[in-house]
Amino acid sequence: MKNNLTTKLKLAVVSTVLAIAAMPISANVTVSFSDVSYRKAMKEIQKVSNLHFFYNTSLKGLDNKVSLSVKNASEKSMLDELFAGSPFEYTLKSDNTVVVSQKSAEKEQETTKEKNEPRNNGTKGIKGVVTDENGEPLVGVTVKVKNSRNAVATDLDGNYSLINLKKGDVLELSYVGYAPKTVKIGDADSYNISMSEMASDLDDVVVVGYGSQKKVNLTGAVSVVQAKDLNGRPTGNAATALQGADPSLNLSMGSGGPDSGTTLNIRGATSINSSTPLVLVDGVEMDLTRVNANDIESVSILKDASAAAVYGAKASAGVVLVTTKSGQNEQRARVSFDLKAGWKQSTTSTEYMSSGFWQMYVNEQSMLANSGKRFLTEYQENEYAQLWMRLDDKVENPERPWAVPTPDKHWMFYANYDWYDHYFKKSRPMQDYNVSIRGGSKKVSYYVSGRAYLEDGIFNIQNDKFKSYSFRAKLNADLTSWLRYRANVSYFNSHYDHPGYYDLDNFFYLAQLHTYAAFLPTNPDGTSVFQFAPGLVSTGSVNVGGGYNAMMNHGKHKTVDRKNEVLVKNTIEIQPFKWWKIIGEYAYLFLNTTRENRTMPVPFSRTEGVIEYVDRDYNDAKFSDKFYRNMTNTSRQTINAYMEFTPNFGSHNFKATVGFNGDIYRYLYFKAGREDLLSEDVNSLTIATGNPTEITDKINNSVTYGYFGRINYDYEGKYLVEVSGRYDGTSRFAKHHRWGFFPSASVGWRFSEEKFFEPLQPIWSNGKLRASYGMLGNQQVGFYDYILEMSTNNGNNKVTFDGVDKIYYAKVSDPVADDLTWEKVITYDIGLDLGFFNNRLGFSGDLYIRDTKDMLTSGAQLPNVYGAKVPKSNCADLRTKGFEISVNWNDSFTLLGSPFTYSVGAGLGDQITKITKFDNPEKILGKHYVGETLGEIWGYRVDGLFQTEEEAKAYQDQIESATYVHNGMNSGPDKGLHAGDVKFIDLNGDNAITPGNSKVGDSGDRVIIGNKRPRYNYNFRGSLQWKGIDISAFFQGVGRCHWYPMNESRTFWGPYCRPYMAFVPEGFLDQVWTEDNPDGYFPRLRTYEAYSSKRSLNVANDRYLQNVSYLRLKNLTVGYTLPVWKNIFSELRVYFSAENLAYWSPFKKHTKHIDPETATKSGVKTGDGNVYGFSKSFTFGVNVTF
Amino acid sequence: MLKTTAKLLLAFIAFLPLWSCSDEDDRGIPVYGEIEVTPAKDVYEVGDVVTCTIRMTHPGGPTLKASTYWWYTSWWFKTTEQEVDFQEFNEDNVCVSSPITLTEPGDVKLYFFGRLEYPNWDWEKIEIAKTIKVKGAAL
Repeated sequence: MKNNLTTKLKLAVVSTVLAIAAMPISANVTVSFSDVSYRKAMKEIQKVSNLHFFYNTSLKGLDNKVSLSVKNASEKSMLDELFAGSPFEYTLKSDNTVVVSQKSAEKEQETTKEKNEPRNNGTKGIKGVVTDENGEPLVGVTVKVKNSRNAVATDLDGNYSLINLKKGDVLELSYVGYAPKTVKIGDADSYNISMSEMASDLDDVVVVGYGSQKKVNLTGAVSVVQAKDLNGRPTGNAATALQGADPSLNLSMGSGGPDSGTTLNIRGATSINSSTPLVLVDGVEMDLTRVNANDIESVSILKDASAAAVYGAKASAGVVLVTTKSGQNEQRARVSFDLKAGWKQSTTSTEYMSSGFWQMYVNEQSMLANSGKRFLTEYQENEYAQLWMRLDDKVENPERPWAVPTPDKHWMFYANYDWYDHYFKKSRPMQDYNVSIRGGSKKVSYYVSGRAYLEDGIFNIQNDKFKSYSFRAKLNADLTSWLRYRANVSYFNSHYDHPGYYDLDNFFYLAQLHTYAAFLPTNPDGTSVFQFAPGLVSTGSVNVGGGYNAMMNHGKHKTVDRKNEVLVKNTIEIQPFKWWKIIGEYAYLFLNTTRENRTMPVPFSRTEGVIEYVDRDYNDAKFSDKFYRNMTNTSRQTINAYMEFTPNFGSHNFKATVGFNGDIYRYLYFKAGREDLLSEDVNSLTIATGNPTEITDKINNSVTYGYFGRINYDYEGKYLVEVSGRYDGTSRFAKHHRWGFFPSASVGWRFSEEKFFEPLQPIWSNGKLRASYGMLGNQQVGFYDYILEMSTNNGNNKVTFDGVDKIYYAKVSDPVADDLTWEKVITYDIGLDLGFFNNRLGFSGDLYIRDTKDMLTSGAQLPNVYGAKVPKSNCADLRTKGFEISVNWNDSFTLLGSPFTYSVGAGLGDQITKITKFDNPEKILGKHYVGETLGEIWGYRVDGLFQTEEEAKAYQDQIESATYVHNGMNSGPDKGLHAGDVKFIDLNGDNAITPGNSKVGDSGDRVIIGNKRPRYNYNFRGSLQWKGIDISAFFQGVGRCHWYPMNESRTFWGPYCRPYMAFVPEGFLDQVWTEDNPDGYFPRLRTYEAYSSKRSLNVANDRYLQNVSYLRLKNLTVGYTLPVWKNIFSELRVYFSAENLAYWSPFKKHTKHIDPETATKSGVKTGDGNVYGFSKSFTFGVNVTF
Repeated sequence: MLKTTAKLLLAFIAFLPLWSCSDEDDRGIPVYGEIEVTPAKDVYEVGDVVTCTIRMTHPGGPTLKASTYWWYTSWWFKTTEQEVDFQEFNEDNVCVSSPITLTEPGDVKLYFFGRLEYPNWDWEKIEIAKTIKVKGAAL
């Protein structure tokens, strides 16, 4: 069996290699001979090229003489020149075979005529005028003799002249915005040449729902991101490459982890429930994090209801259409490699206090100020002297060791240990290998690609490693003139092996606890440090690193996440008439994810020679001897059947699409865990001897059917109309509420096509006004929200009846409303598209209003006697208003004899969302209320810090603030307010700082101080190419976004959070208020001020509200295409590419240790920012195409 | 020419005080002499009892908020006490250690440490050492 498999594998490999070897490889040819027969000429060419000539030896004229001299010429141009004026014609086959045959009689006559004409073998000069299609002279056109350096530019009147030409030379003309042209030189001395305007990007075809449209004919709001902006970027997946690509698109990574998911959003909030757009990859709903960015041909972002209407139920938050690359007909195989390797680093500073003295001192002082007690009881004057002596010891000095044995065989620590560097790598390698083969014959085209991406994670002691492999194969075949078949197969596999407990957020939450720089991770005997002997260091328990230090040192806690995804899609396209196409598609997507997690007690020591174990008694489940495995299987079947009609009646152009879309989704979750395994090294449920800790089984099914239609009409390309609609049904609502109809319409007017516009055309090339209206449904609700659910416990909670333990019981969920139905999203959009200077300057802008009606939320408040949660119902509305603009400039000119091509572009988008209906008549804060702007932050206003004791006392005498904002003043050694404390403003003048009744209009001294939703998304990019050098830069940013650090934002608050936070940023003390530092940002040093409720940093206020807006240099690439080995490689390019290279943010003023994007993330606690940090990457790569 | 040179020289002299005004001088860090060991010997024996003395030759500037001084020898961490020897400067600006019993043979370093507390946690570490030769077997 094994041999059979091996043989099959070998055969597969050999056949693949043979197939690749058999593919025609395009190359340039250099050959020179004079006055030889055609027979010999063909032999000579065979020697220096991949070409093979086939001809009948009885052909007439094989002994005719011919001369040829070409350098680096393409095979086709060389053959054209060889057979020009000969009695032969040739066909170049895809396998590099050149079939030579006799010319027909007519052609022969022409050839004979040519031959009989007198030849002028000497050089000569020519001249002429270059004009556009209207006969207007073109200035600055480059006129170049092919394969030579002989070139000139046309003057103001379009004139040019060239010397040293021979008959047969070819002129190459190039000019920005015009199609390149070649002209063969004959006997004439004057050549007036007309050039045609090149198809601009207006002629680009844009992928839209169930079809494509010319960009110029679009009436909906659609943004397009091109492949060049995504391909080749050193990012882990397509999602990260897409961030910032369009100002309407908010893409947020869950964290900087290699396996992190992303959250997408188009034009802000669509609903208070979910605003996730529909993401379709080649028409199938998929996750962008499992798509290779190098496979992407284009991304269309359908922003308004009109554009997204044909997707109905799932498209209320917009649609992202990703189209992957396909083969190209009549294109020889192009084999491309993109290989890059580099390293990643944190985007932020990772310099934290590593001085044992200073860290202990700062934290202890913060504790003393809070309670008058020490947290670390044994670190008193002598111990601080010990630490001070070692202040400058970057490594251990034998005369003053970092761990000193105590008489009773414990250890005292006096280290300067960098715990951040202990846990985390500063630099970690990454590799990215891509290969693709693309080509096709007249009727069959193919695209095959593969990728391997390897990344080392951030963890140092027990490294985390991420690997992903992806593969895609696409085949397009014209089976007959009316029948086409398309196949699309993709496979994705990832493996993320990371240490510790299954939840990495838990690590970032706990790992810095008690890891003072004075402590070491291991004792001198090599055992791990976790707790200390009672009373030695602290009166309470000090769990160093929350146990993560001992866990990492032990190295056997482990989590492995695997993902496997397969997509198989088949499409049949029938075209009975040119104007009628029938398309049938069936796609099957299968995703399997597994997670294995192993935990166990880990050893540590606090007394020499005595090993103890951190087990479940210390810190919940993290140290149980347990293994669990969970699996999800997700299958999605997508069925599309639609027809497209494109009849034209003179100037009236129609396009109609009608069809059906079905989506059958099934999700299965299974988890089983068991305790007490027989081995620390073997992870399997079968060697567990304890009780099952968890067995969970869950299934979700949903079905969505939709019937859609769309009609596009235009009159002479000037007046554009689109009407579409979809009738959708979903299983997520009860039987009589499942179906909904969602119509939309849009119109466009290309005023630049009007007669009155003609005088402006030379400058103002294009103008289009668009308007659209549409309604879509939002079904992003639970799978079974309309059904009462019944669940059982997991056997953890015993219930006793008559002295007998009954482990299992069942319960019924809270009552539900069975009349739930679609949320409705109505969008109004007007847009303007403009082009100037032959569309070199482009502008596009949109204004929109989006109303979301009948949002699902808790219904009217019911009396307490109801006894259960209020059921959800369709009872809330919101409105979003926004805009987007983008400007682009593309141009090219000749610089030092070579074309210099460059482009710059910028985009800006913004939106604001307000609640327009919600059942909260009293406008209680904490719930949504009518008039609320989503994301608003309520807080107090602050008038700086008290600078003197007198000022603080006077305030305290006048204003009562102890209850809600200065709760800390009631405790500690020096009760009351003091210099350095936060001075809250009594806004309502009632001599008290209070939140009032927490209602709008009765909010005490609280007002809206900021908004946490990102505003003013913008980007700008620039690129240039010249003499093989290419440089591109892409910036992306958010213009406004606020964040109030949560009470557990540990890295931001440092000792203000708790007295045992270890990652205290270098330079932290410079920001702390003292009498000597009255401009200090933070108040006087006092711990728990941020953590404990109703304290000055714990309550949101405008002094500590952070502006986390940012500008990020998202990508910088510098490449050089080597002008060598052109006969082997059609492209050989080396490049350097950096991702997330730098960022600028006002947030940096207060911390350089938290990325503004990470700050707002939620780890263990909401908005705490304790997550896997973001990385920047530096890569060097090579592109090879042959 | 001579005039120009003179002007340049003057300008240089005028700026000299700026060079000499380093941050450290602004803080006015005290200046200390060398450690003197009493009794003075070329070579000591294990078991000898010595006393260390250091003189503050310049008291430092007014921004000094607090200071702490102590004596330390390299073998103390091996003893059960482990305490450093905190001492203060007397009225004559002299700081004297407690009697130190030499317990280790070889080149032995005797340390004088100081922690000078300036505003804004801009503290200064003082570390002065003297090496003496000690003969004999370890106690």
